[in-house]
Amino acid sequence: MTELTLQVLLALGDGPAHGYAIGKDIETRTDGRLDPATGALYQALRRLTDAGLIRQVASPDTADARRKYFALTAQGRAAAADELARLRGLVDLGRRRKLNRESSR
Amino acid sequence: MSARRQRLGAWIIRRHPRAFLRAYGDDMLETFRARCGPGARPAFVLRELLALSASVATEWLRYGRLAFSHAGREARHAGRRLAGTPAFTCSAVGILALSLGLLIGVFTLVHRIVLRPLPYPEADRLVALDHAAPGVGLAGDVGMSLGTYREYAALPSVAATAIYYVNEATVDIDGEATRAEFMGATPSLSAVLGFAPASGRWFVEEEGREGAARRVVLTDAYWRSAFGMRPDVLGATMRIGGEPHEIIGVLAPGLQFPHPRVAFVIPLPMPASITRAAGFNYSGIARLAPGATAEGARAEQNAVIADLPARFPQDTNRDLLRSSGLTSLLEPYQARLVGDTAATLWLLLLAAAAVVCMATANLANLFLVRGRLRAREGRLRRAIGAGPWSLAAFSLAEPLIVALAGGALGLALAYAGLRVLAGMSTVQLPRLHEVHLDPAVIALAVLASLLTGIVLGALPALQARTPGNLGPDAQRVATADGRSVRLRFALVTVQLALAVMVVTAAGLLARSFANLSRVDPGFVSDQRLVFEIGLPRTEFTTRESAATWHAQTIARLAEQHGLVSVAATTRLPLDGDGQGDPLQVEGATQPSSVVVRFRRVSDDYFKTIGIPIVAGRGFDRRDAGADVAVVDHTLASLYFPGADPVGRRVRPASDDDPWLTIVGVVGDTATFSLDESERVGKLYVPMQGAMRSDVGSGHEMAYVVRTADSPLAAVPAIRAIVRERHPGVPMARVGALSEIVARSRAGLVLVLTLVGAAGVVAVLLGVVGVYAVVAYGVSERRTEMAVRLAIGATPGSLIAMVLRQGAPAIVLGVIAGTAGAALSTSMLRAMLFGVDGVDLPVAVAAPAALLALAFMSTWLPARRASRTSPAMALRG
Repeated sequence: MTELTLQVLLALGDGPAHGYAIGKDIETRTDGRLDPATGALYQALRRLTDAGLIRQVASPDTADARRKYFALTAQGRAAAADELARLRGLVDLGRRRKLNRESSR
Repeated sequence: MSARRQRLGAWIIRRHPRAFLRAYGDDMLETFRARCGPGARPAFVLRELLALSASVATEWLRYGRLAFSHAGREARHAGRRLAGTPAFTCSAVGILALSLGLLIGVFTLVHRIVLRPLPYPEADRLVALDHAAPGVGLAGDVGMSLGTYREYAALPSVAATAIYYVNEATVDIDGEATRAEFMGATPSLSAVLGFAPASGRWFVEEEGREGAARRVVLTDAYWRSAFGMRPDVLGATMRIGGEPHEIIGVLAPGLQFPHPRVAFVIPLPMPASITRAAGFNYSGIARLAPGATAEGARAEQNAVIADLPARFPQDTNRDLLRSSGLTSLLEPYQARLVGDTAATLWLLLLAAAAVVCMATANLANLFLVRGRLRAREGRLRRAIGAGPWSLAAFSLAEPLIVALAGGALGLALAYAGLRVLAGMSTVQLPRLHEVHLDPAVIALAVLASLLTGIVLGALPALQARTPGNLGPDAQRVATADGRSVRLRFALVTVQLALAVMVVTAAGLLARSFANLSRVDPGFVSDQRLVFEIGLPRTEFTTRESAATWHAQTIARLAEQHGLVSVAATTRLPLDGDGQGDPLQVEGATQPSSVVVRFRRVSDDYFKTIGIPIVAGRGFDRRDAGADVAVVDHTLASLYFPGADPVGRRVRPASDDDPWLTIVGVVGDTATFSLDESERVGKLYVPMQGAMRSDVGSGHEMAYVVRTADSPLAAVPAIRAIVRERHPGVPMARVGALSEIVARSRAGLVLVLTLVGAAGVVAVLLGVVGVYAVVAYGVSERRTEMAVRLAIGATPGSLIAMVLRQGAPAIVLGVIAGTAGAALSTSMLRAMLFGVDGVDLPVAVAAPAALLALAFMSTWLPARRASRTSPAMALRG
């Protein structure tokens, strides 16, 4: 799973959001390190929709009709959880091998 | 600036495929606007625009892969369905292969012979040089002379001019003697055509003068066949007519001027001074100067012609030159080369296109029926959301596979057919050696196949759009769908109309062939062998010695068992005109202006070749050294209308040789072809008669041998005798005289064969098409007919009902075809012989025959249906 894919799943973890909000959330959480361009972001959204990890949902009544909202599917939640578990395992391995930043000082 | 970047971003976003835009387009646009607002840096905006462009490309690539994958799936399903109906598939592919193959083959001829420029640089600037002399009865093909060549070469409208002639000579290479065709040309030919030899060099100007050292340039084909591609051929010597010639060059493989049979080229020797304007014995070709036009060049040449008597004051024929009405016939070389062949080929292309249309109409009906059987599946697909492209793929898959398979097979058939055509010696098409499949032809084959497939699939696709029953009994109907029936019968109308036109054309050509077959060539061709012998002038330095050798050879051959009679002539019938001139008649005040042709013949010539003696006698031994002549019927009618010419004296108009006493009149013979509208008058002199400046020397003679058995069986014995007479003299152009006659009909035979084949296919397709449509229509109405029979209708009334349904389409098709045939007959005019105006028998027989066949095709299924058991039909 690419980082952008995981970040999109994380952005939807709190609930449905539209494309701009997803991109803004990613930029904020990564302190600007990851700022997906519009084209790249919607390619990721299309791939995740085709894979069944996210789906389009109805927009809230107060929302701009032009905005399309996306939400995690159960499969998407499971995929995100699996990826996070994998990453946690890598972090633990790094700690045991004293490769994390605290051990290397 | 901000507004411009917003518009650009929106434009790029709208370039996504429609499905993507529907799902994400609006949101994507809003996101882009939010990110690239007025404060966004240019570098940031550029990154955004590039990412949008990459998204567009990715989506279209993905869409293409999906569409390709979908098309592949449809193709696989269609392939399986077609494999499940092998009879239908094979006949459909076969019909398309034959019709598309015919179209591809004929298009190849049109493309390579008529449309494609000649293989020379700026070939559209090449013009053929010729003259007409209406004052002496010559509408064209007068040719060029050394005098006119010299004058025209100096004109500003031409960049380069050349003259040439083609002849045969005895060639001796390393002691092996053969006959070969060669061209004599002025060195300027390379400047006109824009070529250089592949190895060695071309002639320089000095080598084109009388008395210059003898050089020769080989064609690539002759270098391969006669010299085995020897790398050291340059500088070698070959004897031509007994004279040694040094080989100085070999031409490139593509250069086959004026035709592929020419083996080598020697310089045309120009005399130091040219005193005559006449002597029109050459062909001419020129390259127009930049900016010059053919009309301008022609006008310049006509101005020169008017001045010829002043430019050639020593020419003794000045008066004849003035009275001949000589005019320039300069025209584009390609048009001259292709001539009437273009009209013939365009006609054949039309006939082939008509056959393809008929085949397509025929198959469209069959696919309509197949489409109806699959209509329920189409409606299901639409109901579950299949888009228009998906439905189109569903309808088009089978027809496209059949059409592309038919096109591929047709391409193979066309290739094979063209190879056969190229190998047929009787076919005389210009540029035939340049005919082969090329990328343009293959592109046409693919395009024609795709178009045919689309047309075949379009009608079922339209049919599938009509709403209908989706239930399990959707295929089961009691009556036919009206729109579908009308469509099928409309296709029948088209097929029958085209069939009538093609069959009418075939009928007219068949009448022409029958008329041509009845033409009396003026001689007997059965049991006659012909061949040519040319004696080397270095060995036979006088005409008398050559004539004596030929006479002795004739006498020796006549002793051979199996040879009934032997004779020789300077030129055979149907072999062109040869030398000629108008004649003076002794006692007449001025010479006539009609040109007659001269022949020098041996004693038994008329008897051997079967030319009847109408008055007086032929030649015999008493005519050796005598000034006598025999004339043919045409010459006698022209020069001595209503009077007996025997005993009168004549001589060619342009010289002072002794008068010739006419001792006999013989029948006319064809000079160029069997369908020539007027026979050319001929004057015959004895082979061993007095030698004259006008009638040919007789070094090259064409022999005619009447054989007791098959002519070709006598060839080995004759060869042995000729070799015994002179080992260094080969026989050339050996063959049966009947072959020469057949070759004269070959052009019409070729057209008749192709159009006749198209006619047969047209009739088959028309009849099968009518039968298939009616038979299917009857099967659709089986239940209706069963009900009618059950409630008391007679079988006859059912037959009448079916006939009434098909009659309008059939009658309309035949009427339309008859009208079309009448309008298009004028296109055939140039190819017809002995057929003037409207040929009533053909104009009536063709439509009548198709009408009868079409009604028979309607009656047969109707009769079968009328015998249906009502109970069985209702049970289904």
